Amino acid sequence: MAEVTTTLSRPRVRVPSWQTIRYVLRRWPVAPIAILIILVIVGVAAPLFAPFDPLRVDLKARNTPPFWVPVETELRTVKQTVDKLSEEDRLNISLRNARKIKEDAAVGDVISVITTPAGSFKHLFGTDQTGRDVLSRVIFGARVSLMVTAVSLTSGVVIGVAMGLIAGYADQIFPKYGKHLDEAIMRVVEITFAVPVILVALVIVIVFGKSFIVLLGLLAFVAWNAFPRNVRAEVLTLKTSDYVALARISGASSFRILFVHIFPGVLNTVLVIATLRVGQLILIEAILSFLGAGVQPPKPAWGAMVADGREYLGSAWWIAFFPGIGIFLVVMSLNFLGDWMRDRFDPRLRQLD
Amino acid sequence: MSRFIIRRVAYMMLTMLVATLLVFSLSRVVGDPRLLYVQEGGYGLSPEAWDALGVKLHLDKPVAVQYLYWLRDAVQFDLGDSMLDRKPVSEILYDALGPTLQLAFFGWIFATAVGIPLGVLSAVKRGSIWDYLGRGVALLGQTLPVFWVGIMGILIFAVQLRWLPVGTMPDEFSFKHFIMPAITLGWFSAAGYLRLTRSAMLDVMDSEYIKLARAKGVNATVVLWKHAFRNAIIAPLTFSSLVLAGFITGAIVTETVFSWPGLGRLAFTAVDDNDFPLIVGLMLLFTFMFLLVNLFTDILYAYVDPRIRFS
Amino acid sequence: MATANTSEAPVLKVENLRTYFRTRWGEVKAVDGVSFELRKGETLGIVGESGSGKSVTMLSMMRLIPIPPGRIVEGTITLDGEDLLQLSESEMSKVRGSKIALIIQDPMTSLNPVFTIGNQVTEAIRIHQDIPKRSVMEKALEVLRKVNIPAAESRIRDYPHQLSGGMRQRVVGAIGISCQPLVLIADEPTTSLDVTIQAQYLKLLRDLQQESGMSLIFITHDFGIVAKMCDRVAVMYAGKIVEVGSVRDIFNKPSHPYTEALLASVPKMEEDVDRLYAIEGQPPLLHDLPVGCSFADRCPYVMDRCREEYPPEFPVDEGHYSACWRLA
Repeated sequence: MAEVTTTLSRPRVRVPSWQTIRYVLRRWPVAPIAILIILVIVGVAAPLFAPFDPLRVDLKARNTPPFWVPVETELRTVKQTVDKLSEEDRLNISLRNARKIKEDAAVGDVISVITTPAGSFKHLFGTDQTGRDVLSRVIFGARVSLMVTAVSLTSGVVIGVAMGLIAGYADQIFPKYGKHLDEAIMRVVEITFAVPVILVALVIVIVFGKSFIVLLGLLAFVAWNAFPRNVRAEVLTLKTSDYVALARISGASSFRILFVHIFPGVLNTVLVIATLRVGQLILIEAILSFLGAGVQPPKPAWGAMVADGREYLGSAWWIAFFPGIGIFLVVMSLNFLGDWMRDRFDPRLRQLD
Repeated sequence: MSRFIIRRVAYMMLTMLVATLLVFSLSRVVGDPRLLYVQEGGYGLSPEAWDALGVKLHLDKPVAVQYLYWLRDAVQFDLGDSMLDRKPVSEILYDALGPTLQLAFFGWIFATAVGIPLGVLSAVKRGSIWDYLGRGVALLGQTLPVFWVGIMGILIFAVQLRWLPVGTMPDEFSFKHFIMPAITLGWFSAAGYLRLTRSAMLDVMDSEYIKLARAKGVNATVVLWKHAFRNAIIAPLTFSSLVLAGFITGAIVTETVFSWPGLGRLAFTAVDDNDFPLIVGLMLLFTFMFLLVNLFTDILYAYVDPRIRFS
Repeated sequence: MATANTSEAPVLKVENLRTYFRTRWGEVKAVDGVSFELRKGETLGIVGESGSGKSVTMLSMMRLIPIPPGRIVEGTITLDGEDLLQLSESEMSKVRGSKIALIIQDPMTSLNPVFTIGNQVTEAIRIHQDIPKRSVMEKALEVLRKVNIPAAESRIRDYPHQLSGGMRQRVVGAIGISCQPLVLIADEPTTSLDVTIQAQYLKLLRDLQQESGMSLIFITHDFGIVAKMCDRVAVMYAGKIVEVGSVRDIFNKPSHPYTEALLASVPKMEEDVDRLYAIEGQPPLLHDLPVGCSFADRCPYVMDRCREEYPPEFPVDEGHYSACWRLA
């Protein structure tokens, strides 16, 4: 029989340069990564980027709009008396009220002129109700979110992964009751899934007060429970592989096997889950700050800024708007990045969330 | 099937009991529980009031007995009086229950009416405009912070455009007032439904039994709705319990944003005011509602998926 | 084994079928010019590796190819006188299940888990036959008994997960024959079954065929089944039929190098070898087919001509054809 060789008959395609760029753009999540890198840099080096001290109050420049808004003048004229006072009466003044201000007021008279100042490049995003620069507060808010998230994520990862590792390997570590330990851990994790986080957060805050540590603890708790289930599943699979068996035969202790041999195999999954979780963490921190249970004023936090801005929606909408956009951009980038990482590193995690 | 239901109900009661235990121990965890009744920055309690409170809480008896006294009262809906209002907690809760239930109902209608059909469309017409629309809606729903959506909604639709009212629930029923709060509350869940339905439909449509159904000669529309959808709906159904649980959380924020007189805003103000009896009542009520919803979805799930019924 | 009636017109005639799929690597020519005939009462086996195009051919015949990535580019499929490719979708769905039926591979997943057996068996009957409701149930029971489901009356209310794999496959078979099709296509129906159940199932199919006179197309990679069940065999490779003939011809006188190689790789009990024979190389990428014969790179008899032009079918014997330049 003649020698049979196989040739892969695939011609090499020369790809022009701009198509390479498009290729890269499609395969790698460039935009989310860029946004997140900017965020981290800006957050870490906040004092360098923020034009003003975020806590600096300047009552004379209260409620300045963002830079693109021109001067607005509002004339308040006298209208007829209106029976049902509605939002309209903000602009209209009933004849009766007008007469209180100026005795001989008639319908059509201008009673007052309100000028809202224009925005300027001095305060790019405007100022809030006490004159603090919104842009600076957004930047420092990023820093706060960053720090809070980093700390709680790290502690959450450490605890969660440890629990997953132990649960998955429990029957080796404790031959007698390892299986029960495993089940117990998993039950606890299951229960924590059912608990509505915000509610628990509020209760904890009542009992333990509104401190920073409490916030970090809460967020660590949220961060933690995503890991044990998947880590344990990984451990169960890796447990049966040959190199683990070899290590066991060689007499390695269970802990050594866990941390030296099994742990590296789990890292992929952990990375993906962590990325997906960070977005949720930021959202929860924002909600807690919004409700007043998170970062305390006057420290700038995006959620709290939105809460502040609520009262000024009609007059100074930018106070609430920009922090919200910040949250949105960050969470969206994290979601995209997390999805991409999951597709790339561990498609088995493709469930709902 | 009835055995299944009975088992589930018993399980629920048990969990509820455990929950009461947890809530109770929360009040005892900080030492003297009377401290929780003292308001911050207030005048504190007079010595007589302090002692009276000690008697009321049966502090002279062992903790387990205290728990039983408390439990007995709770089962009879006596949860004490709110610290701020001086009204019975159960009454406050009852007043706030209606608005929250109505809001939750409309929120759920929005979430399912938008999420599920868009999910099906997005799966069936993959790559079309519906697919991108659906996925866009889902993405926004999951990344935009709930409170921000509500606030921006108020800004745009109430303040600038004046189409919808600013907030709060009026005394007589007005549908307009429900629109923004329901959408705010439900959008996040709509996103979840959408993605879940979409992936479930995609999985199901690839399956062998769908191929066989078509090979039998069943026409395409019937295959889609009778065979595919019926299977795909199982996953979103279980999700409903998560959705409604999420509403408990979401209601706190949404009701706060819209000044809605419901349980959520109550929770928020209670925390703000450190009103402990009210918080306890709220926690018990929320837990109960949550467990009830779970029970219903479990039963519904068993009814829809015959494989569960026999386990 | 049923003998074929050679004087009548074939009940199914496939001519020059081409089904291509548009993928991101290019256009995949899954079925590239397939033609064969099937006579009444005959059992045709279609053999080949995975990826050879056997399943796609079958799906094309039923017009179950997903149309956005796939399309039937060319060909005619004449069943009982009419060209299936010219029918509208609603006309085609009337044909599916009634004139041409399908048994697919995996009994675990081919039945819808949320409906009862009865529901799924009666569905086909209800769609294609205009008979009163009561009779529908009776017909269903009748067809379930025919496939040897014990206690059919109580089984009919069961759900698929309550049945064993073998029984599920019988139910699938029951659905297939419920409307007395002219052609029944069985796509690897026994691959997921235990060996003992396999034998029973194959016997069942043979009995059903003899009773009704329907024609059977058996898609498989297992030559043992081919030997037992089929009258004629078509061997497929890379989207084309490379050899076709009666079972006896193919086994005794394989005339295509691929067929030879396939037969050689079936381990034989009497042989005493150290190493099992496996065909060297890999099948070609279907979106990047070479010019000339697709088997050229792996063929022990390859000549220059093989790489230049794809060989036409050459007659070897009566009813036995092979697409190989050696026969020129």
